[in-house]
Amino acid sequence: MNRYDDVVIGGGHNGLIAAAYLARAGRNVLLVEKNERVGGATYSEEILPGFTATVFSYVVSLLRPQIIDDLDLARHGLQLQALDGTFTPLPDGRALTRWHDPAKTRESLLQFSRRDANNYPLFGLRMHQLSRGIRDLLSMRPPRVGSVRPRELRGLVEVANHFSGLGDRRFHEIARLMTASAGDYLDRWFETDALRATMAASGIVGTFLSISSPGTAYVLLHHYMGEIDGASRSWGFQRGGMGAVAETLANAARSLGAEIRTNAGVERILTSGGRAAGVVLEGGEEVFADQVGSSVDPRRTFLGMLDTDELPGDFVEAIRRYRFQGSSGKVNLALDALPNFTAMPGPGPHLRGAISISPDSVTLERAYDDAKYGRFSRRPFMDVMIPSLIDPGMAPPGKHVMSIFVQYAPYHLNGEGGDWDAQRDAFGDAVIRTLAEYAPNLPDIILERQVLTPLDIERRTGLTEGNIFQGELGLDQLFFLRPAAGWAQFHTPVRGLFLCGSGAHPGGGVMGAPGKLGAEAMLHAAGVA
Amino acid sequence: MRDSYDVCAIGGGPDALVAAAYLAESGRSVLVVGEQGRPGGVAANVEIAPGFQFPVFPETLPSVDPTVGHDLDLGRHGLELVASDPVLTAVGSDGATFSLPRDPERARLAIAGLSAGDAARFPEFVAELGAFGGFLRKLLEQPPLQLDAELPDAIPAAFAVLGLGAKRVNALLRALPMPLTDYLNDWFESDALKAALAGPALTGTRLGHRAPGTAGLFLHYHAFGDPEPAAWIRPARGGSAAVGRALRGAAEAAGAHLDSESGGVRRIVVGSGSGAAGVALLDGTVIRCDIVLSDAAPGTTLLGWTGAGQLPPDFVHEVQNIRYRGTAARVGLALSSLPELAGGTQDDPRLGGVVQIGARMDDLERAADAWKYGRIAEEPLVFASLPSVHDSELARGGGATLAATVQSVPQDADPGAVLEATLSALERAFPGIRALVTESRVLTPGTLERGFGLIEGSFHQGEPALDQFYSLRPVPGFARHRMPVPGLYLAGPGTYPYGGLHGVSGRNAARAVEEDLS
Repeated sequence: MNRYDDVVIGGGHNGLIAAAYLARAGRNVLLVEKNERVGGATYSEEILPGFTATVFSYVVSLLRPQIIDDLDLARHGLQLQALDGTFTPLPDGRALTRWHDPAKTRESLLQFSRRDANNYPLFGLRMHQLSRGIRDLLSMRPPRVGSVRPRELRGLVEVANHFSGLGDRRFHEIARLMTASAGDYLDRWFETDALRATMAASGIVGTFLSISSPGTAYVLLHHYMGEIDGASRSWGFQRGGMGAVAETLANAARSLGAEIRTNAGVERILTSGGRAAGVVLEGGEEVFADQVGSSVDPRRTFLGMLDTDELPGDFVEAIRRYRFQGSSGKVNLALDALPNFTAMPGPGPHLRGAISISPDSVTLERAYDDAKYGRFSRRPFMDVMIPSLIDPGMAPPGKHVMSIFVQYAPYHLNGEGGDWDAQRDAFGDAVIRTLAEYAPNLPDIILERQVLTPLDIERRTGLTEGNIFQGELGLDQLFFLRPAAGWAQFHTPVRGLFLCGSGAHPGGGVMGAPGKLGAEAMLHAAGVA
Repeated sequence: MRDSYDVCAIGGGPDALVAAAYLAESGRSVLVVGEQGRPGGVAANVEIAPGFQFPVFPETLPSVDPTVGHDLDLGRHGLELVASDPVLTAVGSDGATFSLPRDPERARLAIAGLSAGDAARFPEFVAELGAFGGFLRKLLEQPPLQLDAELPDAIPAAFAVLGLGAKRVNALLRALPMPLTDYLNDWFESDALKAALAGPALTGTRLGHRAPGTAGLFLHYHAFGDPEPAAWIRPARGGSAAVGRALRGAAEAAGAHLDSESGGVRRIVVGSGSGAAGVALLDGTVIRCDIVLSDAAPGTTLLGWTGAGQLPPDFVHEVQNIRYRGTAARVGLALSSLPELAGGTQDDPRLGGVVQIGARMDDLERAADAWKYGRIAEEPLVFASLPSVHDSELARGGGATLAATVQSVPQDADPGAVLEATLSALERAFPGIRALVTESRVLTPGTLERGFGLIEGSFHQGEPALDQFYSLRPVPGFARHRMPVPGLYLAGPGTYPYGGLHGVSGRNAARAVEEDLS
């Protein structure tokens, strides 16, 4: 059968979630995925026989609990294990460790500053309170600002009411968080530079911004927004890596009745009379549908799969202006043994959580400065984890896999050292060399390394410019401006065509909200909900 | 001087004078207290050597607002703004120059030499700046919206006020928090054009053009003054002292009394009813008044003069956490003759405008980087002016006076190092200028703090970053000039909008006082 109610383009986590919601509402749904397997950036693969890498994304935090419930993901295999804390080794041989257990965190922070040790739990409490004020916005359809339609004005007032309902103090604090730099915001709380740096680093993940760039403080909240098994503020790791998350979502979608076709890349979106009518697959096969949901990014959707003359000129201009500028890379290692950190020698619980290479503000600023001028960071910021310590099935007994998220790796290089294909190895070397400053045995235990530049990320996942969020999470590209003003409500200028990926509100991260909200917009348009 | 007034305008800067003139005009008795001499503050010139004076205030920060100038009839008090043409000439490290004419049509033709596409887009860019500027001027005419429980009511009202179509509203809301570089990339491909546009708009901040929110600063920058674009740099003939002189004239003509004798404010007197009751001056005098309006830095006014004990603890905490971050030095040079740009003459019209040394976007950004690491940039971004071209009184000894703003100078920089960095930058634009220098004077951020009460030497008295802007300036909840002590009002660069000789916050604070009094 070549006719469906809805076709969803792209089998990343958002596409799968959208398909699952559509099927759950009784729609006849086909999801088409270009690659051999679903997952998009939630993907695992063997990099050496017996060694499974969580290739691109590596943790789950913000996956909305309602999605987990609605789609019964636990039954389909979702099994998140909370990461216990963050270990930040320092060049002077000390270590800053933050654990789930506040007493252990306090003990570590006391080495540095009594004041910071006292403030740390208060900070967490404040962030937790504030994140509740923001959380609702993530599941809200953004209003159309400037529209005088009653529905849109009501939406605007609803947003305003939401904020004013928080009370002046919390509202002011949220306004500050949305606009301050992570570094400046943390300056108000903490005096230890290493603590500020390692906390601020989480504000810049995936962005082309530094810890002193205004607007980065907001992302700090994300760390207190995650919910795993009802417990707040935890990063979770899926057994089997992120690929298993995609399997879970695919299982859920299929069991709700969605059909999933892989090796089915979309060449273009079919339109008829200004309305989406289906898709043409690579090879020419046509699939007809009443509605099309695209979970691929806005540039690929509108500039790649449609003729621009099917779209209003100013919309095309807005999509051309939508910024990607991927800034990160990924290195995955197969290891013969565990790395041995000078700051905390031997195995131990510090290796089971996140390992953050973010020792001080100056290092992070210099890393950013490199990228601004079109070079990868010589001494990058890195967010490292060892998945095989959490799921021993991911590597042979006694062996390990390591996931290294690396920043900055600008998609656009200045050309001095050649393109990314020419610089891939040098980039990998810089990563290993920097990490070896903290774990000197690392170079000797590497059995295999997989280096993914932003160009590789683009090629393999389709994420434009390798931006892991399908578009920079800047204030000018969030909420009612994502992906373009007037078009943040998941529908598009082509009737029957919708967005349901991270390029739509509320943006990237393995949270699933765009998939769910996009599906809801489609159901609303179809008169189902 | 009497012992009691309706209003004491303290802080001694331009906004105190502006507020005093407005309030005196509407019949209030007003005393303006000067700090370290007569009122005017940074609206002053400084002597380099006998006969040579240079303006303290950067030429590239917003000049007197036309409405304020008109309301206070500053022209009658001797103010004349110089509209040089070209406005600005950017000089690159390779010696290449690009000049931006003041007239949009001639600017378009000049841009055509860089990029035909950019020239074609320029008129539309100018139209957008004009539309945004028109809206932002409305914002500048009133205190910021209070972001609190009134918000739901305020939003529809705000959009009603705009008179901008939905498309422009969205474009503006998108542009305000953007990095300036991305905003300019939307329009232009020529790096030289972008650098000439971006440079001056970030004068006196540590923010590079890649920082989110700098597009908002740029758009504000173009909202001051006349609606036509590229007309933003209009320093006063005679330097910033001429602005001080005109403002004093206007305040006195309106009936305000100016104190130049007391030496300044010791503290603000808060009465038993916990409202402002007067000011105690350094010479021991106590003046009674129900209204105290200050244009000094928020920290000076609130923590220094009012005292933490008189203020709510949360508020004190907020004020203590304001970031100031002065990053610009001023350098004055007495020259034996007028310098020449490479290949130019002494009649060169470019010498009447600002010469920006730094002509690529990366040059600007690299200069801003240095400040993060506490260094003077190897190739600092410099804005040079020759104010004696427009007023020979500034170089009475013959020759010329050069005034430079040097970006990204640490607070405690060595003046000798600042001078050396400035001279080597100037040498790129004006080959051989070193030989013309007879005397020099360097005002580092530290000097500016000690000499003019600018905390950390910042001309903005509060970094104009997104989290310290508009409703969040100087601190959230207190952007509308009224401080927690009844009768105490704050104006000056530390309040919306930011540093400049525009007088906007002085006028808005005076309006808040009038509202409360009537």
